[in-house]
Amino acid sequence: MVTVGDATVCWHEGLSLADILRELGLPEGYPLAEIDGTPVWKQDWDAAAVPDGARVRFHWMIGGG
Amino acid sequence: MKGNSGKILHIDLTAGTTSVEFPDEMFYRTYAGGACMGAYYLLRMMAAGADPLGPDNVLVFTTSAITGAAVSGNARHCVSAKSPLTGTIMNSEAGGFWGPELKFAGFDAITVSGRSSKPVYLWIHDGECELRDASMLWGKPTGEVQDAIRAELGDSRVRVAQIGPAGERLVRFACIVNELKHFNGRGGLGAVMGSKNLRAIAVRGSGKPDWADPVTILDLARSGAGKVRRPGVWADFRRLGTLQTVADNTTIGSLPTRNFSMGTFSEYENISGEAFARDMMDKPGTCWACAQQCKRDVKKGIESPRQIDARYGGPEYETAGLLGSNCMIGDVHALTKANEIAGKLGIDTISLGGVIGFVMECFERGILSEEQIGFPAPFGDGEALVRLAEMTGLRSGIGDSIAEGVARLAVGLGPEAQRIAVHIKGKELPAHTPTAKGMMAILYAVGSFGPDHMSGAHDEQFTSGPNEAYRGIGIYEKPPGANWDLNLEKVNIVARAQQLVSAIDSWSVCQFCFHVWTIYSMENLLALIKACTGWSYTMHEFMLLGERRLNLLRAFNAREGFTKADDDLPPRLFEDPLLDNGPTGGRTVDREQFLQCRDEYYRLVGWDPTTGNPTGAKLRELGLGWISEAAPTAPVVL
Repeated sequence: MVTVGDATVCWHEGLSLADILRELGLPEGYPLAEIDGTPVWKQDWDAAAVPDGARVRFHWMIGGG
Repeated sequence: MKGNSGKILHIDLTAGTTSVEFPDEMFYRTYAGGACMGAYYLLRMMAAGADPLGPDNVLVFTTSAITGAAVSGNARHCVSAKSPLTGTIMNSEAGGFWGPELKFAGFDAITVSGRSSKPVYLWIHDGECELRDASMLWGKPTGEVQDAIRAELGDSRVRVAQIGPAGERLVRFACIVNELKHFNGRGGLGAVMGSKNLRAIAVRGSGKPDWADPVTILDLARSGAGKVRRPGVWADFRRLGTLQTVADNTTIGSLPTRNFSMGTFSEYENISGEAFARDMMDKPGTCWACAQQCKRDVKKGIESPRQIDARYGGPEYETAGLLGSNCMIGDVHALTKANEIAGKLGIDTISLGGVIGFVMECFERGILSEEQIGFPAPFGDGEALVRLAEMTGLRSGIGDSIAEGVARLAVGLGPEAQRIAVHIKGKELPAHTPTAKGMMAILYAVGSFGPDHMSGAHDEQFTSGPNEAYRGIGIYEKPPGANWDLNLEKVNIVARAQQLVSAIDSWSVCQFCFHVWTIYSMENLLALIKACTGWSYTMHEFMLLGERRLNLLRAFNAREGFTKADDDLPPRLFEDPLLDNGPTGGRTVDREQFLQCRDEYYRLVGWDPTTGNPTGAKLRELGLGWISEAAPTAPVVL
């Protein structure tokens, strides 16, 4: 299983960050994801392996406040 | 004239008199409002070399032609003056409710000069203005003063912009607050107001601006409000506020931690948007007419471990970064309490957190003793944080020294302290570390009022390439390198984005609604300007306005003797590799690269690279020839 906040997604071989967004019905547009604390910018999502048991978080990077 | 009232209120506190100026439409078209108009009046009305805490400093409150149109993100006003913290010009924006009410009361802007012989507050209502006695208000916290003014005037909807006890005591980073939660935070403008014995400006108006096209304004209002209800960045913004940036920035190693010696904070989750929503939040709060609702309202009745007064609201990200991680406070209760104190006493939380973080490091290094501070003050001590915040606002004990800002405090503590004092032009840094964000390195250094994270773009906005808004200002390619890299391509983005944001601030609209990730596009903003004023306002004119304001700021500083030597970063950023194991662990800013990029910035904006100041030709190009040719007070050599 992969944890995203309070939600979980079933892990399978080749699970991608884009897959996770789709499965959870999350919006597109996040510029950054984090897999077990490691930042992954959007252009690198296709190549990023999401391991079983990973904790994933998506970031909007609003940059202000 | 549509949109503007056409009236500028001038107050002379020394003489106790007021007068009204009636500029023509071309004045408004040239200087718009907000930050640009503020800078204009400072250059016109002030002599070079004025004491920032003396009667010759001028405090300017500005709105714009579109303020008062009930569209999300359109509730802001700007305050400008010479800063007692930096000695430079200062523009500071705030949201809330005060700006629109000033328009409804019949004025576009106010200037305040001189000094009253006794504490007063200004009462502006439907075109009228009077000075009222504030001696019974002096010394009281902001909540009590707001209540007292409303009771005295018999109207609970009077909007009050005020200083707190910190401004009365001339704390160099005291702020001005409206509705207890919306701050003109930076640069010590609260101290300027306090130096004039002006406690508050209360406004109430029943007027409505005369709009050119009210139907389009209504359409824009509805489209924005509809957008924020959809899933996406706006929904998360309402749910988590700016506090979501705590997690964002620690992930990329940009969260100031331990007096800017680290870029990640292991306890960040305890001061995150989620932690606040879970433990402290009542509901999202908002500004006038805004559907985004990014503010944090605090639950009533929190008594333990500290009593929290909910009236003062919850912290924004900058507060969490500087009073939280920068002091290694992983405790949302302590953070919210310190935020409350800052609101009650009227203190800028960014500067406060910057100086307290410095004090904590000085304590741990033995530069400051327990005896000097009055109690132990190591990193991570929430009780010390809360006590130091209160002492600073009241200038008691070591708070009297902290109130001078980190640069002045460090001078008195010796070279080791000066090396670890993190400031630019005397102003403490915001919570986006340049070591992780290359563009911030340049933006902070060249900023005319010191480091400001809201003056331009952040590197991460370009990791997927420029979006349509940035393509619209001529940025077509993603810059090379990582988030933390500095290169000439990024300097180009810094210069152009700074110009764009400068224009946004000169129209006094909120970047969270009117900047590149938000609910309204630049086309929407131009449409709003046209709907309010009737002007056929183009992107070209918009960008010229932004450039004009940046040159006004720089010309003011040049007149005060500032040069490129002041456009630098603190030694810590060049010399001390970040201590953590995060994405930026071990990194510093490369000084040679920084200097090369800084000179490139001057060339791109048309300033003399030997001085860093605008040329006479650049000023004339922008219609500012009057600055070098006929300055009203001191001659300007540019």
